[in-house]
Amino acid sequence: MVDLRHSREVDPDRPPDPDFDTFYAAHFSSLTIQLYAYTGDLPTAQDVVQEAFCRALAQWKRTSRMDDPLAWVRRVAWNLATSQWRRARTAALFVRKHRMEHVPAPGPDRVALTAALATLPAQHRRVVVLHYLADQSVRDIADQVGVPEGTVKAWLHRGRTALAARLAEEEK
Amino acid sequence: MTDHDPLTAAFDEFRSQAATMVKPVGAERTHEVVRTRKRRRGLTLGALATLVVAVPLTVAAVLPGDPQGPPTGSPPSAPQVSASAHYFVGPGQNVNPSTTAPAGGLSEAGLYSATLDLPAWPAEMNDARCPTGPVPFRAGDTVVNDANLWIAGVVHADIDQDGQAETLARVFCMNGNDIGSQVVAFGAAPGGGVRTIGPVLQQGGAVVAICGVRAGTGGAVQVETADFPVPWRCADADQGKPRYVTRQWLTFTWNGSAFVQQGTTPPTTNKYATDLELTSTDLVLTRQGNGHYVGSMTLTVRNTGTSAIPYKTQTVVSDGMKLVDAPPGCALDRSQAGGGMVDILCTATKITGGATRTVTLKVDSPRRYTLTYVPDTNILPLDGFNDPNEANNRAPLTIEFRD
Repeated sequence: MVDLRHSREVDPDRPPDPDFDTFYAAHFSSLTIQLYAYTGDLPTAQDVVQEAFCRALAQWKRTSRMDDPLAWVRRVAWNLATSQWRRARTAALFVRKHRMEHVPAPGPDRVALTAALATLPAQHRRVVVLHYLADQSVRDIADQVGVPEGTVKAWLHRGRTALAARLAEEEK
Repeated sequence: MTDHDPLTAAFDEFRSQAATMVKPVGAERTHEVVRTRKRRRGLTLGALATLVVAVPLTVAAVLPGDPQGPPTGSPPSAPQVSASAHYFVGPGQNVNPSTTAPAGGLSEAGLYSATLDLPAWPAEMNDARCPTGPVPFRAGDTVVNDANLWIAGVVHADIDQDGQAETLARVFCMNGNDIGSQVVAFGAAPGGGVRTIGPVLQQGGAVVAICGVRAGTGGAVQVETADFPVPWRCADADQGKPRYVTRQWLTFTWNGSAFVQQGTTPPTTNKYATDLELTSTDLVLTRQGNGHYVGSMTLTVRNTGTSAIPYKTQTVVSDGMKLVDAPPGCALDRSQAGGGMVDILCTATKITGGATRTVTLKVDSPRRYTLTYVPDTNILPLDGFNDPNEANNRAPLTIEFRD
């Protein structure tokens, strides 16, 4: 028996492709917030999420028929946030540093949380963000990150403990 | 988490605060970006465009005594500057612009606060929606309909040899990820204004970035170009100096109606850059007696350029598959694992120009996987080396299970 991925992707019984514009509108903000929490830098988060959506759109016929297109976009965005692509775009920060952005001052809660998150090891930070901001189950996170569920639970436990301690220190 | 988890409230607060800060580019703009990329890929494949050396005048301005006289027709309409525009110091912009200039020339500071009649931008910048026509600058920059413009580099040259200097400026425009520049000649207009003489050189084709401008001898203007999209297209020239980027100075002179290049652009060979091409066979995994599926695929790397550079290939397969009898330099890499995917990386020494290499990856899959991703294989130059043509760096990969 031949099991070709492509044959599954073009299964005529599957529902029609979700509309990209609707998909984008539904998920851009939430994904950006997750990446913002992970990177601590909102412009970078917006950049990598936007790039991930661009890549999804470039092959939308395939992406839209995946079991979970959002997981694919999230994975791409997360990889971009830690990849050479991001390093290549650090020049963008050069420009941003010089801009006088007319945006509201960040609230103290947001600053405290991003600062506390930044102290966590990357893997702990990632599972914490996926759990609290992406509302993903341990099983989903394990699949997303590519580690056993037990490892996710351990990282989540350590991350939560450390994060709570950091935030408590901030309040003192 | 449970309702008693104090972190839940902290993250909820974070989410609500951050939500007000997120500014989606928008689905419409995303469609435009992807369309542009496809167009550009086609252009890249088509040919490396010949350097355009004579750029026609496109604006209503001429030098004194120009026998052609001023062009007729309606002047370009002034773009509307957004009321919410914010200003910034662009890369390469002088934060202490000079207030002096040679006779007839415009000072850098004067140009920074003038209304400049900008020539049309090259077609490849269309998506950036850079304004053409009169654009008021303030402190060296401005924002027009989300396009950021700034001046990065001002020099003087007596291009028509009349004893009065003309002013040359490198003008940048950036909108989202689109950024480009052009070198434009300006002169003093009666009444204290600024008139546009014309563009000297615009980014486009083989001119991937414009890194500098300076006065040559005998009224010539020299423009430094780069053959690689260096950070922000050389807006900050110091950032455009990776060793794999070839930069060269081109010389232009004014012929009375346009700037023309002197001589031809010499072909260059950068020993740190070449064009690598990657192709792959399908990965066909056949069921074995132990229930596993085993198969192999062959990656073929060809150096279609002349310089020898090292590289690595990155092949995405299912997380759980094993690499058997790994060839030298090849191994599973879990640093970006996730979503059911894992990478096989193969790091290779320099491949000489014109050479072809193959590497066969034997894969053992403990079970049949339902693929929820798009497998592919990519080739990347190692750090410090470059492969500007990315069109042939990715090969689609089909993974097939056979019982």
